[in-house]
Amino acid sequence: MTKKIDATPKEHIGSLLHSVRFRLVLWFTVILAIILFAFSAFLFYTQSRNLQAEAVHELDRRVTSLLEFVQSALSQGIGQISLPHGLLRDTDVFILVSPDGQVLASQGPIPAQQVLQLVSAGLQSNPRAGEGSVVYWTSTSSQNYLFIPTQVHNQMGMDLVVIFGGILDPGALVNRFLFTLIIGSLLTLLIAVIGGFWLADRAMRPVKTITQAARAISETDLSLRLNLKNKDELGELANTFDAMLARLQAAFERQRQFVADASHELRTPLTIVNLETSRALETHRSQPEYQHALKIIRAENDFMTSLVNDLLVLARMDAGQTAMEKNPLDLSDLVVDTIERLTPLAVRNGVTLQAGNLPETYILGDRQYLLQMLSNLVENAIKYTTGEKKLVSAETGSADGTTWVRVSDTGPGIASEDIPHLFDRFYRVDKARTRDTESEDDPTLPSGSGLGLSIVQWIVQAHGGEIHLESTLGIGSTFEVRFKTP
Amino acid sequence: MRVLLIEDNRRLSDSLRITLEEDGYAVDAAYDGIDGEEMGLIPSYDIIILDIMLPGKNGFEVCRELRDRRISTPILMLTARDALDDRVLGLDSGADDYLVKPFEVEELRARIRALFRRDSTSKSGLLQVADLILDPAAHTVQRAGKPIQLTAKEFSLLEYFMRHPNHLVTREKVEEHLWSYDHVIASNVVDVYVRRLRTKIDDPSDIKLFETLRGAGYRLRVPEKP
Repeated sequence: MTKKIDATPKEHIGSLLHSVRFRLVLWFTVILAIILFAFSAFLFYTQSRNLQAEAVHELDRRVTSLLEFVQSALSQGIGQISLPHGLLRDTDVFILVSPDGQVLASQGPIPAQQVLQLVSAGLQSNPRAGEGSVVYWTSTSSQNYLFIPTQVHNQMGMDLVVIFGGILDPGALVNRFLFTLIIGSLLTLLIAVIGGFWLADRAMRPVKTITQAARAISETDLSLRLNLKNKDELGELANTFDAMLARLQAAFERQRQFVADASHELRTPLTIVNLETSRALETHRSQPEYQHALKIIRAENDFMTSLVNDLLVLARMDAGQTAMEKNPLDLSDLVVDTIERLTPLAVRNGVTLQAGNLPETYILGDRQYLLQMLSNLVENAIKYTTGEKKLVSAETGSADGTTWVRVSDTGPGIASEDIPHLFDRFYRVDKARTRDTESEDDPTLPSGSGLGLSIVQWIVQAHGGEIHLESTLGIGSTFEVRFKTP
Repeated sequence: MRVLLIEDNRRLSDSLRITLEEDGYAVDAAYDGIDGEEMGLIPSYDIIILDIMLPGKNGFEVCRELRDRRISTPILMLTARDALDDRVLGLDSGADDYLVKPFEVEELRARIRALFRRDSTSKSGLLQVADLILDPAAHTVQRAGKPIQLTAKEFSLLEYFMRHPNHLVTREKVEEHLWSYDHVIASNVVDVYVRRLRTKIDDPSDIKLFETLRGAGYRLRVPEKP
């Protein structure tokens, strides 16, 4: 048997207790319980009052029928009143009192004198008591009695008092009602918990899907998407997640492409070095042959060095590790500096490097980076200039709140389909279309890394500037970098 | 053996050309896909070395076009990317082999030899006519067990003869396959080389292998087995 890492029941319950599902249901249940309690209390309060009134009403009805009987008996002049069986219950009290306080008839479980005392005491303690007043009394066996005294007349016109007493007992009804309420509430809560779990489970299912998908997505395979079709909040979350994945994938793809391009760029010089060293070492060679081989190797080495440097610069820029200073700098001063440094290269390539109008113009920027930007532009121009009189010129100026620097060459120009890609990394203009392939490259001069213009663009953007390119095939190209005048 | 080298990086192309020329191959170089394809249509080449990333027309397109035009010259592709897709695409477009940059010179040589061997019946790579044995890999020739010293050009010429035994080999054919366009050769240079080969190979032996077909050219005759 293989050992599976399974959650113990304890851990399982622990994770359940911490789950959103459980907490949702818990909160839901607590809130529902509070609402149910409040509602039941209200219901109980109003309903018990109603029941009380109902009981009083019931007693009233019985008093009325009793009184009807007593009245008719008195009007027929029956001295001794005996109530027929059934009119009174065993617990009921019936007392007939003469005007002078003599008990004429008495029936029921409570002695007549006690009732009389209770009624008179009750009526006295209530100052507003009068005709039709009632007296409540709770017996020792905790039965609620209601005594209703009523005046009646006999045939001689004497005022007699009939006291009727009955147990006012809404208690049983109320208790039953309370019982129903409690059971009902508990059942409701139980259903709510089950339903709540079901609902929470349903609501949380997309979350589970997202979790599983996220677990399946690794660094190497970012192609997976959640593709949740829900139009709700979770669907939105999943869409956001998918969009993030797409961005990540694109970033990884760019990175991979960059590494592939970089290694590809290194393969050719490495092959050349390999070929040259193998050839030089195979047999004895003459001094000039060795020198030629070494020159080629040095040129390839220079190329790889500049490529690696450019790659490092770009990598640092991509990582956001570059700290740009913002100092006021004279742009024309930087141009003069660049021209001075690159004149030897221009001479080796047979190019005339010319300074145009260079008025003092200040911008805010980082000297080191701006110098690199300018030399990349000028080097680029020197490399691609062809034609009868190879001329590269640089000038600065300012107008309408912008300060600009222009680098122009008399090169072959750049085809319009190449312009959008010109600043892409490792993009090189198709030489077959723009360059005379018969013109022999000097194998001992280093060529461009294909990253120069990418770096230029990055530096320009980091300075909040813009780069523009004007190019006419067969005439030449002009790169113009514009900065805001501070 | 004549090689067409289609590679846009001029410095790599130069290095390769010189290396191959020193091995005795005649090399013509093209620097973009369009020129390369045009030159590839000439049937004089014994092998085409083709880079993929080319201006004008990429290596896959050139390869496909050449195969569509019934050019069966072996094609060795040079790729800078070792992605499987590129290799598969290269072979599918009609290349016979591929080599990933950066490569060792020895590997390049071995692959070229392997491509030549593909058409021959002997898979060992050794070429043999009677008791004359030529080893293209080791660059050695021996007759009846005795080693013979040859210059690069002589070696190439002998290799050409031995790859086409009993065939009429005209001077034009030899010129086409052994010299690139860059070399303007005197009209009798082929005769000079054949004469030298005869001196070195046939003179010490009783069995003469080289025949002169007057007015037409030469032939390396495989002697009838007794």
